[in-house]
Amino acid sequence: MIGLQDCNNFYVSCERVFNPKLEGKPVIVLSNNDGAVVSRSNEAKSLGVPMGIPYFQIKLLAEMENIHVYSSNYTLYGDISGRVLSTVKDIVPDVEAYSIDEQFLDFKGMKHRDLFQLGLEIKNKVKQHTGIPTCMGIAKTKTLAKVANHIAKKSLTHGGIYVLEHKKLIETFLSLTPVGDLWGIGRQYVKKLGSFGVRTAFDLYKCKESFVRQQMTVVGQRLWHELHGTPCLPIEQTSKPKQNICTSRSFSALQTDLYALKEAVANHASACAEKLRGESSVANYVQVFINTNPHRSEDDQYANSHTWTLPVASNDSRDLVRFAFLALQKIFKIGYKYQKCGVIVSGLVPENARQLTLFESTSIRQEGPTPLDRMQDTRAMEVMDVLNKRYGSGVVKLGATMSTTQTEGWKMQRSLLSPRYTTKFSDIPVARCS
Amino acid sequence: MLEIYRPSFETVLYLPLYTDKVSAGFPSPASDYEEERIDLNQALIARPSSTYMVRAQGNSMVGAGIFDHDLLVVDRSLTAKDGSVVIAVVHGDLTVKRLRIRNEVGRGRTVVLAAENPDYPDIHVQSEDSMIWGVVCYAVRDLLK
Repeated sequence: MIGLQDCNNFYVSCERVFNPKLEGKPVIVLSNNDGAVVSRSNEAKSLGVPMGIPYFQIKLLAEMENIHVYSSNYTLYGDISGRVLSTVKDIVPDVEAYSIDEQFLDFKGMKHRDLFQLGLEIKNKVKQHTGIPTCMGIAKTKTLAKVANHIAKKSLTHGGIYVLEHKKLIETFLSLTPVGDLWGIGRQYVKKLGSFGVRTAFDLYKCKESFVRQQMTVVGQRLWHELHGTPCLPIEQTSKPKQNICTSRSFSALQTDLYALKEAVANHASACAEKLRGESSVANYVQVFINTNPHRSEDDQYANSHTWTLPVASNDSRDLVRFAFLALQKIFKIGYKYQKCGVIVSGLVPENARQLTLFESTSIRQEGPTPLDRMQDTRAMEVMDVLNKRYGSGVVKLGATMSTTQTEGWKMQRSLLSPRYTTKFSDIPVARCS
Repeated sequence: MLEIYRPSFETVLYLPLYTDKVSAGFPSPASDYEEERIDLNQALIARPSSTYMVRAQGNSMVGAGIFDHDLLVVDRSLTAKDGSVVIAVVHGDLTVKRLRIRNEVGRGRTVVLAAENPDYPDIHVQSEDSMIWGVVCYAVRDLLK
């Protein structure tokens, strides 16, 4: 049996752990740049705030109804997510961290346990240890566990745990589930299946296996087996090695100036480099992309990207920034209002497995030391990482990433950010002795 | 009596300064007796996933040895008992108090969040459920300030 644990309104719940005043009040958390609503307390849901709605559309409502509004505090949410995961692992060792607020639990080897009671034990322990409320669906496969989780979340009578095992009940709940709500069924398939009269999960369940295979390839066939209780999607405990790392961000105000873009690109490239060093890998390719805002029909539209192959794979901020600049210069065009830019590093290999080139490219030589020179010069990055770790992120950084007054506008807007309660000494919560 | 330990901060601090030092001559006779160094993280934090740092503010708990601006190590996994120093939620604020649970004849079970300073009142509550945030394990004070 497999359990899917889901943290209730996770970002809001994280805020509430350290600010108990928010308990029982409408609370929402906004996405990057305070753009859209990404987490809502039940009180906010019942005021009719939809998921994903742009903040400006409900700003008045938020003010009138005293909704508490927060910017995304990913440092806090990431820390709490890790705590939830390790609390669960203390009870059930085989766990897949599926997303920041969902975990798949493998209950094999726990056949002697009443799974409802076990689920309740996990839920209570997570609540006590981390302060985060959760709910859990338990079933034979991941796909059915997801359906069971939905029942656990909506039901008021099961204490947040639902075990979906009885065949007739499975069929009943599948007939109440729109096929598009199933795990892995996208809009295209909903359309396609609809044309065959397949509208609910039960309709799909009743289809012949050969038909599903024909219409939805092997992916659909797997799903069909999962619906019938045969696990086809294993619990993946070790995260796959990353294929690439992307750092990108929308500007808080549209940018027209090359210098502003250069500064943003430099910041993104050095963030990528830092992540690479954190996992001891190096990248072979650096890609930069820029685009205007496609929703502003009054503006001229432009989007482009360019990829540089590094002469030697690197995780040195100076290399990545330099090559990112070269890529940016290739694609930057004056006269457009840019909304977003980003840097993607790919072709990742472990640091100790990197290939050296026999010949260094001469075209880049005149622009500074080559990555080969840099290989003997890793100390600077080490010292930079140590200092940033000890004294706080961004204490030491490359000159290219520094703000000048004319370039301030690219930065992320997070005006409603809560303190980093668990990761920064000056931000730890205060308890009153008065 | 004072026991003196050699502190270590290896869990957070990496100093690469001595990596190139080559020892010449006779090896140190102490090397056979080297042990792990004292690690405050290990000593004070039994369960990292449920432990939080909280700053104390005010003087109502001086009798329990908690002074203004002390750093409190709080473990949420521990169950609060009679006599535990706890972080409790009172009117939406985090508060430090001593938990007192009494079974008194004729009055039944009483739960009090007690201050440890006569200048501050105790708080009588209905039940400790849902208001205990965590149990305070250690108080760390800066004696240089």
